[in-house]
Amino acid sequence: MDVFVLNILNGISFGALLFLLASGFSLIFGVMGILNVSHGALYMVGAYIGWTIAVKYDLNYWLAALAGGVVAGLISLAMERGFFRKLYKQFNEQLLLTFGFVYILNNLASWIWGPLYKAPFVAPFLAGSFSIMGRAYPTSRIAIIIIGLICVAVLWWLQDKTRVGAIVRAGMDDKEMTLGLGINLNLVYTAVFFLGSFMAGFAGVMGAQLLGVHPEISMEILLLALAVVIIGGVGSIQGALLGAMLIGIIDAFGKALFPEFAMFTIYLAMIVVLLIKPSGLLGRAV
Amino acid sequence: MEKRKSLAILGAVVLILALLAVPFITGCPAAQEEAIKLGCILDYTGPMASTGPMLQEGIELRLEEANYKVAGREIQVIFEDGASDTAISLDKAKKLVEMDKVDFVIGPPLSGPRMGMIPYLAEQKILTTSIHCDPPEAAQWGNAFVYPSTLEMASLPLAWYVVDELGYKTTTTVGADYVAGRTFVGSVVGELEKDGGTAVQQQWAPLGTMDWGPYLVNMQEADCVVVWTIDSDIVPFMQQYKEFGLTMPVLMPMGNVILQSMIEERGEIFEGVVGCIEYYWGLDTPANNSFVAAYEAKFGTKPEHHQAMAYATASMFLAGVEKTGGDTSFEPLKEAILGLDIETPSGPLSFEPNGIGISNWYICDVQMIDGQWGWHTLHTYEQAEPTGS
Repeated sequence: MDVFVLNILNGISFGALLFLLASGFSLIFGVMGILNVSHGALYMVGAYIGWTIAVKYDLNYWLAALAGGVVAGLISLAMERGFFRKLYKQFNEQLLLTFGFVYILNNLASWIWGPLYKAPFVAPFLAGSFSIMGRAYPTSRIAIIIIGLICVAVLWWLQDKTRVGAIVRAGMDDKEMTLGLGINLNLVYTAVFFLGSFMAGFAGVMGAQLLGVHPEISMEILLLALAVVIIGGVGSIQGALLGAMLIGIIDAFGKALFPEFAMFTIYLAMIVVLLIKPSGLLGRAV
Repeated sequence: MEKRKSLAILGAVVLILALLAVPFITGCPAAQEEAIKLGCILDYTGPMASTGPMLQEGIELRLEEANYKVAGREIQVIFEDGASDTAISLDKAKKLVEMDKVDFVIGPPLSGPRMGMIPYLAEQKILTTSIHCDPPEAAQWGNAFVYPSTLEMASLPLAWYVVDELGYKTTTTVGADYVAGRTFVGSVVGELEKDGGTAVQQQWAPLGTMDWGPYLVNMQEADCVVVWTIDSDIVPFMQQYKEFGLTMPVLMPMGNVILQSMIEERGEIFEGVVGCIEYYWGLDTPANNSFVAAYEAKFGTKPEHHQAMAYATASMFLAGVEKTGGDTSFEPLKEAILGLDIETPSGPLSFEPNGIGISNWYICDVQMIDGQWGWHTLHTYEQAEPTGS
């Protein structure tokens, strides 16, 4: 029973991390129609910025998390302003462009921080573990779950209970009508892009507690984010949450029950969802 | 007018083709004929991307020491990115052989791409060497040097140490689910079982596993844990192992997967890990002291095992060509290398007749020594061969 409970917690904690990453990806894709495959690279940049502040300069961990998000957001702003605006509805070009940014960011990271792996770094107040059913369970994973839940609540409130959220949803449903009401959608898009990328950078610092960081993590983590979005659906916080939790739990129990097939369990789930509901379990058509 | 234009274009094409054909008609210039071409397929992208620059450093350091010359001939070295991928590594091997006309190939570091490439190189009569072991099957093609030894040999000394010194009877294992991981872990388990021991559980994880929580939660109690995966996965594994409060002794075949720099940075998560090591910078031998001094003088830091092993492969190549007097053709160079008995940073190196290397292996544990975390030698298996300790 303790193994079952701990694996549930493993799944939820990994799912919470994936939510932090994939929520931004889903929003950007849903609102702006941009498939930003450099989202994983922004996660990596956030993690490296967090490492620099928290480990190299031994500063406050929350400052590191904030800085990771802000830097990722600023990089994405530059990308959006400088490039994506010129490629509106040119999906193939956007995809290629964001791939290019992946290589640029990966190589910059290697150049700045070196090619070697950076060990996981945990906030000092989150180090250690506590007992669940007589077994030790890391405090940092519980913290990731709590932070994930807080972000779910904040983003859900933003999306469903605020005027900004209403504008974002309106823009997704009918861009022309929204523009016709005099709403500056470009500003909204910019804000969404920044927020989504901030989440990626922030997720990088959170994720570095478990995974550390290295230049190749950008593509590894992106694949998981894509799986979350495909399963959960595009453009909604609820979809990202559902997809992330499903992926996290499938990954945890897949490794526990079918370790030889651990590589496939997530993608098997993705294939099943694509066959049954291609827009995702809670998704809207893009 | 149109006719004149067409003739001009035709004339230009003919001229260009003629210019391109000149080298093939007249033969290559003398300098190109004399230069020996060394091809290196390293991983600059993919899961092993961190190793490429380090391996290149080791090879270039050795070639610089030789002034890029051997037996009166210049050496040209060509580095290609194998991307830790079998298909890409094979493509690069074909490019090195068919376009660059290399005489010898070093790498790639992963055993999967190596096994995909060796048969092709054997067909082309090109000799090649591994950098971090190969499966023993690599030797059957007749063109591969298995350096420093087979994958099994990277773990057998640890198994001997477990049986002879530690007396463990049960183990639970976690290994990377590919040829090297299964070989490293399987060798230790095999020796343990020969001694009457048992593997109570074996878990296999894909390369690139990020969250080890499920494996750690499912881990059963045993005398020890035998674990092996690649460097970018082993660090989160060990961190999470400690976080989950697990205390079984950790044994690591091919313990060099934990980089020295990582041990120095986060030694507390590796404390007490016992590994089978092919090299660490603290080995006190004249060859290693000289290598470490040269590396530090050039790069300002201590070398990892990647640099040392790559340095040794270049040494092996240079020694072989020196022995043949500059002849890089297949049989003479092969015989020359097989007959070598040289000192490398990791100790003496010689070869069995089938090309499998005979090297020293070190059983080490991670300790705090003089205020710094590092490997500490517990036992040395000198010139170890698979037939016995």
